[in-house]
Amino acid sequence: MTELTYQGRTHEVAEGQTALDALLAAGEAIPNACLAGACGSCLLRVRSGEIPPGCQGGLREAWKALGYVYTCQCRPRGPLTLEPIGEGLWLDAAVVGREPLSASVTRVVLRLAEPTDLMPGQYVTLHRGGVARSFSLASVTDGALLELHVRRLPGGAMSPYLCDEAAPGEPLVVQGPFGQCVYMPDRPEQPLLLAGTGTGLAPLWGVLHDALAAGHDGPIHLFHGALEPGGLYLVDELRGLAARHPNLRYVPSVVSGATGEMEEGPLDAVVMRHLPKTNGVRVFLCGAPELVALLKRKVFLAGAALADIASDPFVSGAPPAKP
Amino acid sequence: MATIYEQLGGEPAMNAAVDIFYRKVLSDDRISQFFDGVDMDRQASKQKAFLTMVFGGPHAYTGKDMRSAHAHLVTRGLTDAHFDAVVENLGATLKELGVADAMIAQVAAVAESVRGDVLGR
Repeated sequence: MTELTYQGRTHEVAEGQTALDALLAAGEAIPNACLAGACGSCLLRVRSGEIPPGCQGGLREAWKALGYVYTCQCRPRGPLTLEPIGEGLWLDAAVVGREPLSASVTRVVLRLAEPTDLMPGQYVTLHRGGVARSFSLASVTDGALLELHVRRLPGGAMSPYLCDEAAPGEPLVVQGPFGQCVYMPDRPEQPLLLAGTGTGLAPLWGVLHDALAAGHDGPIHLFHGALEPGGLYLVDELRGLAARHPNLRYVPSVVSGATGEMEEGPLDAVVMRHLPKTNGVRVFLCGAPELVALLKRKVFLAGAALADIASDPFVSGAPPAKP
Repeated sequence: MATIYEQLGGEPAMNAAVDIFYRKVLSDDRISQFFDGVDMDRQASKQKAFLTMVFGGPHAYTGKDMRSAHAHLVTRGLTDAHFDAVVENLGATLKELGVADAMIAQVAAVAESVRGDVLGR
């Protein structure tokens, strides 16, 4: 048993209990969504006390140094004083453009009020009316225009708003950036393996375009998986890109119902069929968490170094309330 | 005399050693089931701390850590045979890294010292 102080109020924390659970139990309003140390909506700053291990994984070095912690992963071992995180992490934005990419996926463009240093492949968390949802950045233009790929979930708390309802210029609060799925131009000859499901294509699209813009000349393998052909999108654009870049291989893949030039089967099986050996390959995995975990293990066992595997499992937010 | 940790190249070499070791235990049907559903990056950082310790590098490992970290595995049936398999994979990792047999025996002895804690005895 130890103590947690937040906004001047002191609460008890049981051994092994997370700071988030203790604060919520005490009636404090702390935004939270994924409970997995990923979305960043529950971040608070440790003002005083010892930061317990395991609650800063994946944060930027600068944020770690500032004492930011995922409260959902933070199990205090001694008295801690927490405070809301700095204003600097919160960016004002507005929806400025929309374009359907498929029946269910919409490209949504946000403009930030102030340019900041975000990289394609990272993700941001959008806040609206007490709801927080994370979206990967498919592209970043001039540090201010952010491209997201949003799958519309009927009855969802955020996607219908972004895809259909938001009036141009309507203010939105953006938090971030988070995540490590970014292209690093240090080894332009290194083979790249990009694999993702659904809108997991968004960060991969970002990494791919950064790599091509940097003149990456090693082979690039892009695998996009979906349950059926209607789940794929940007197919023609990616085929065109592969036609213009001989080092790019684009493999659309569906679990069933393949038509034309696409592979059929579970994405992990398709990837391993094309790349049975992954020694020296830099790997980016995004999308459905089970598939990301499975592929991570497979590409590691096939030879990729752990340090060369970046993954971004899309942990879904709280399910929408039943109508 | 230089420790194995120093011989291998210190901290930067540990990542490569962890990759070899982790790949071996994940591929070993006798013990791979204990790694199902485990966050690989978190597991790798624990293995790095473990290898650093048994290779004679700087560490903050304690028997209590080993005991609490493996308690849930003991309830899932972790036995001496599994521990032996891990030590075997550790030896094979060192052989692959070109470490002499005498040094490997020394590392195995250090690993042996945590057997009781790992198995909750």
